[in-house]
Amino acid sequence: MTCIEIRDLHACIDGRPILKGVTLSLSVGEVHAIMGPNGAGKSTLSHLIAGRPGYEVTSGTIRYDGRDLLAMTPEERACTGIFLAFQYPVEIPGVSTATFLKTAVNAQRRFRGKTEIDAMQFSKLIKEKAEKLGMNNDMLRRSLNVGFSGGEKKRNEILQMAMLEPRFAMLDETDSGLDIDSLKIVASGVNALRSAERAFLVITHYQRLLEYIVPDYVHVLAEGRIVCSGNKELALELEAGGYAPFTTHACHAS
Amino acid sequence: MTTSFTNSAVPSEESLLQFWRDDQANQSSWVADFRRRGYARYSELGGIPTPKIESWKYTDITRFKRALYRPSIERGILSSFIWPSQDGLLTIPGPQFVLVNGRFAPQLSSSAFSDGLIVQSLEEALRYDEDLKVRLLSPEKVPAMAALNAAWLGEGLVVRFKANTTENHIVHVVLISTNTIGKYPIVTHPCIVVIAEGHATLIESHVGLSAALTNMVSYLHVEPNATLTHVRAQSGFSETHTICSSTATVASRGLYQCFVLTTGLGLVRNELAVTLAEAEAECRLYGAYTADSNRHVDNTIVMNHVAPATTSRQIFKGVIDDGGRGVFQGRISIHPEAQKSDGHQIHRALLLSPGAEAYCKPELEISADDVKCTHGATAGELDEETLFYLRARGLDAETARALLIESFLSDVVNGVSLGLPRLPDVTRAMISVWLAGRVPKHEDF
Ligand SMILES: Nc1ncnc2c1ncn2[C@@H]1O[C@H](COP(=O)(O)OP(=O)(O)O)[C@@H](O)[C@H]1O
Ligand SMILES: [Mg+2]
Repeated sequence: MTCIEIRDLHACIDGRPILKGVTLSLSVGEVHAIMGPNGAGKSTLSHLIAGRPGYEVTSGTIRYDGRDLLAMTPEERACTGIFLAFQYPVEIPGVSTATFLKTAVNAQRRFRGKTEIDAMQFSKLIKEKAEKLGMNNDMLRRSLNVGFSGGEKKRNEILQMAMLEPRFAMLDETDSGLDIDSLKIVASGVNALRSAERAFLVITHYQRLLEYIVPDYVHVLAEGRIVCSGNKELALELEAGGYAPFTTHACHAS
Repeated sequence: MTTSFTNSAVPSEESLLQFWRDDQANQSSWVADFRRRGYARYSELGGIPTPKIESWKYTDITRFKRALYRPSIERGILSSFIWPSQDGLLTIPGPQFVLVNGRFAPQLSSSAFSDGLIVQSLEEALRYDEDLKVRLLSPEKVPAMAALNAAWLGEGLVVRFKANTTENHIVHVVLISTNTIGKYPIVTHPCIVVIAEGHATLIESHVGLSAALTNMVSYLHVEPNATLTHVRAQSGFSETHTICSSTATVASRGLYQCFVLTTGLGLVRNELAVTLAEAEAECRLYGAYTADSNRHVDNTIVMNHVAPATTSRQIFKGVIDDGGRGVFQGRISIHPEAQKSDGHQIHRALLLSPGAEAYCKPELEISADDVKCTHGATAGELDEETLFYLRARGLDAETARALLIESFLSDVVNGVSLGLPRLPDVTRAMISVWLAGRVPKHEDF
């Protein structure tokens, strides 16, 4: 079943075209990877899907579970199951990770017409999930991401994903700046969530992450377009030959 | 129906003067003389301060001029009083002393209090307490609004925290402005004197229930080795306006710590002059305020380091929305004899709308060489990237803003437990009430 379908998407920032005709379709149960050189538009695509203001969509459509995604507010998208693990998670002094997550979980529950989560139940759940990601209680009590290392911030993103249980999750370079141990923890966090009801879009610059999160499809995004799509072997090819062949002429892999 | 300052007909200055002269006959000679000197000082300074005066440049109170020329004759004594539900400060245990329109209201106040504490109406205390008289500044030394207060000396309260107790005495002073019968706004001139020996806490709540103007003066004396913790919470009706002129004097190794929380009232001016008079005296000031739709909050601080090794910290944060104005004027003055002193001051404003205004004027006057002294000021908006992050987690735009406002104020709010464990929670609740009452003015999508 199709989860999200992007058709010929063109988008500008400040009048400058960044996405120049992206077409991509993901079904539930699938993991897609997007690779590509810096500045290709990978983050732009994921932010646009999450609803970040400031982009002008000049043509094309995004349908999400049959709905017109571009007509939805960021919070509606989140509440209907879209999740973005940010490349640069923000810091919020004075608001603990636990408080923040409880606010988010409850906002999403309210949207779905459910009652607020019981405080005890929430605290048990978050501790359980945090532990699996190697995050201790102290990190849950500290201000959101304040003083966290790069790796801790990324784990925190995965914790949020685990608590919010999205239908469509995007990970924007969650692997960058991670040591191998953190990478494995993050990957196992993602793998634990893989299911037949959920789709993933994993954005990465390096093939390394895809050894741990094995994708069903790999796409190359360059200069605002998907120039090549293939299976997981494509990632290895990229590793060996770099992006240059893909940005200059059409793709020959299949 | 509400009364307002701008369109109510008020008596002339002449009739006020006549009333004042008549009232002088009811006073003791000391009080009558003090009042006469207050009036002379007020006149000499040209009456109500105008924005032409440097320290009143950003706060224009001249619209109250006509209202000020009216005696505050209504002494409407409340027999009962329903505390506005938003205020949880009174849940902090301690005896309560209530001033209704400036006058001490014993029927609303606690009667039993402990050995270490003496609380009296100013009127009563002035009859025999000679020490009290020297605790008031001479009218010749005070600025215009305090001089006007001196001209009406009589309303108010005296709180003495005695030494030789190790426990922290907590006292609530509640100032209620209410107009139960008249059609004119109430104008009052209360004076509060606090003398702290030992370990003392004063929780001062200003509650506006109807159109009123309070021109208050307070004298805070922190004796050697004593600690005075002072919480001032200002909330309620935006037709209630408050001008406070406070003077704090801190003796050797004394600590004066104060948290000013303004989440309501219309025009608020908190003028505070602190004198760190003796060696190792210390002062910590925290301020958090909100200003929106025609609300104006002014904190004007003068921090005088006059003795060696004195320390001061000031951190003020304001959240300003459309039509609101925040003013912070902070002077740190380090005198030549105040070597090894250390003064810091920060003011940060969060502007929620293009129609929000913030004025900040820091001044450092340093006349000693071996000192540390810094100040910082910023004014900024909510971070768009952070707002998006929160919305991408499912928080609607208003909830996201509220969370970021809470975050902005958090270092002040979390920092101010001041020995009162419930204070941060109470503060957060008062801020939430303000947030909830605010009309969303921002369009998204
Ligand atoms: N907020 C922005 N304002 C202007 N240009 C931007 C902004 N964000 C991204 N860009 C530009 O869009 C292009 C794509 O950026 P991005 O999506 O971050 O690439 P990637 O994630 O693939 O490295 C780059 O040329 C970048 O400079
Ligand atoms: Mg990127």
